[in-house]
Amino acid sequence: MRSHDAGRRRFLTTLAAGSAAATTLPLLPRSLRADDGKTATNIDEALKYPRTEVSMPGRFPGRVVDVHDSSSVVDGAPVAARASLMLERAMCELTEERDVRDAWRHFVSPGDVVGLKVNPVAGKLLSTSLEVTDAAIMQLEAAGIPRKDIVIWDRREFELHETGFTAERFPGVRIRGTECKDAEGSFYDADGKLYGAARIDRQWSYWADCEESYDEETLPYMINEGKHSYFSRIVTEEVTKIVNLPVLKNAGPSVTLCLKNLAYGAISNTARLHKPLWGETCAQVPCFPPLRDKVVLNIVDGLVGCYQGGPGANPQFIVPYHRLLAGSDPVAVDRVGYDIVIAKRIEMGVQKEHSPRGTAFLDMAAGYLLGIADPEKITHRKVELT
Amino acid sequence: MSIRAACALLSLIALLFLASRPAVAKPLQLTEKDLPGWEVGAPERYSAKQLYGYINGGAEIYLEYGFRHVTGQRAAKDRHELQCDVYEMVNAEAAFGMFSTLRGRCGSTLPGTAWHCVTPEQILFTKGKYLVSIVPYDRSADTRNAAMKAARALVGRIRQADYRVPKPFRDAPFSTDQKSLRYLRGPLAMQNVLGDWLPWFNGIQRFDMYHVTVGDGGRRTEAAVIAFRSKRDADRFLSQSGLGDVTAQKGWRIDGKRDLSVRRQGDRRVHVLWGTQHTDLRSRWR
Repeated sequence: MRSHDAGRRRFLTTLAAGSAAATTLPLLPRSLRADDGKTATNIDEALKYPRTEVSMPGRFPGRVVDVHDSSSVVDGAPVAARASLMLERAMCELTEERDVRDAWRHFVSPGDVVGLKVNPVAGKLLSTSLEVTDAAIMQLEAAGIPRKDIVIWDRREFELHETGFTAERFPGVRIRGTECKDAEGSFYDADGKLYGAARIDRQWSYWADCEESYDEETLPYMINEGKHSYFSRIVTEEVTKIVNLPVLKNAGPSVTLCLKNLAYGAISNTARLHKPLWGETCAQVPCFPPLRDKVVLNIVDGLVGCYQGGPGANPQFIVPYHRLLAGSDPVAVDRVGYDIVIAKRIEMGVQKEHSPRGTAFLDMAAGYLLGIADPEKITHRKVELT
Repeated sequence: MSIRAACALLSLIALLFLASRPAVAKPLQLTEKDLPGWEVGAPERYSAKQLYGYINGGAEIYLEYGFRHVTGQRAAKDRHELQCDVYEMVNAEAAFGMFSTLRGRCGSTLPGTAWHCVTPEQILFTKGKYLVSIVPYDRSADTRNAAMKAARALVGRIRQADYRVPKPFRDAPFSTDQKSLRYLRGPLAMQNVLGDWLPWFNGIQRFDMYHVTVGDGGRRTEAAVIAFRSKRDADRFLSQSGLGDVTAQKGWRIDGKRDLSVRRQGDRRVHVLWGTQHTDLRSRWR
């Protein structure tokens, strides 16, 4: 059996050498001292890229559609037909179109390769539902996007498979993850290099002045250590548009929805960022053009979600919310989702009231012009189906 | 001494030696006998370092409490499937603490352990240093019955006592509220279950806190005993809660506007009552 350790050490050495000679990288930090005592990052570099007409918050800033259907979940399982109808209504309401195909064409066109960014991190119990994903694929097909141009993606390919996002379940659709293993379960190729190493794009990196070490035992699939988190090639090269499909979940007294799903799903070397820079990462990584200019639509799968114990799946706190939220503006969608989750936490006695800490990352994201965080300026359109 | 006597003596010494060695504990796990007719998968064991890979997004809180291993197994029969995870924590207090953050509104009972929470979604219990979660993936009667069988088998196999909560939570006025009793050991647990308290704990990394909720609705009152690791942390907590000059000698300090009573015991220990019943509970708290 080949030594994984040797291969891993070799790879990390190679990366370190790459970093030393990295003056050619466009996003290397220059003087990145944080003035406010916070951990420094290269956010200023990201903000220099000119915005485009489709940059976040996209076509409908501040508009969030909230579709509720009490018959959408039976015995804890989403009902496919209801999920499809809910998504159709959400899209038509968001775009003010009558025909769902026209609604989708506000965001995608034939020729696009559309990435569906799902969230499988909490396992079978609390992932983006296969039913909502099915509905999105069928409606994309109706709008002229063939299945071969649809990619279901996330950071870890094996988590996609474990939660049902397989080639058998979604024939014709590509299933892709940045961190991946082969059929024998190895994360390394014949040369001892991580498969995932070929799936990151070193031209795009989120730099932050913090580090963490990984080894074979802790997180064998982590692609690199150091102060750079590289963007996935799935985002920078493989797809032209991204539809974001997070799950309605809490993260302590905050939420893990659109921004978190994008930020932590699109880059490598993320474990180092959780403690010192959770909010910053959520708000800053989506400022980089591969996300800012490609994410056209956010659909929060709130058929089933949680109000406590998230982002992992703690079964006793998983509840049917019977909802889908949709909008082009990830900040506004997150804010509406936050209000729903916090209301549930208050109802269940988990907390007494909203805490500004829970929405600090949204205020930060709004400051970077990714969307609207002020509830007074958000148009929250509610649709009640049953 | 004859050869036979020497052999007998050597055998006796060998037996005594073997008997004196500590038994190597087998990991607590399910077997095929526990679930007749079900296919019980091979156990997968993960250490503290490997936990991040096993529980994506949820490992840190286990580490905060103190975690040794988890043994995960799947069991399946036809289209039915359940997942069994046995967490071995560093001690019974850690196991109880983790249990207290994971339990919600509990239903049926599980004989053999005082600390259990049975719902249609999960059977959760702790006994000794073990914390066990069994999740019936589908909610059919077959799978739920199998989950209960598995839980009973595991409970019976744990030769350790139930965790005994410390005073004052064994006595009135808090003893009837043990269903809401929580034990927290750090900021992650705080974030997860007591978000309203977070601002008071800013910058404090380690503590031992027992917390119960008494009453509900307008009479809901929280009671807590917090042991800080240093006088500095206790001072910091009191300052951040807006009650900075509480000393051990002053008895209860009361903030009527916030329905808050706080008492300091020594340098590092603090008692808190927060809610409309704080006055009544204060007089009954020995």
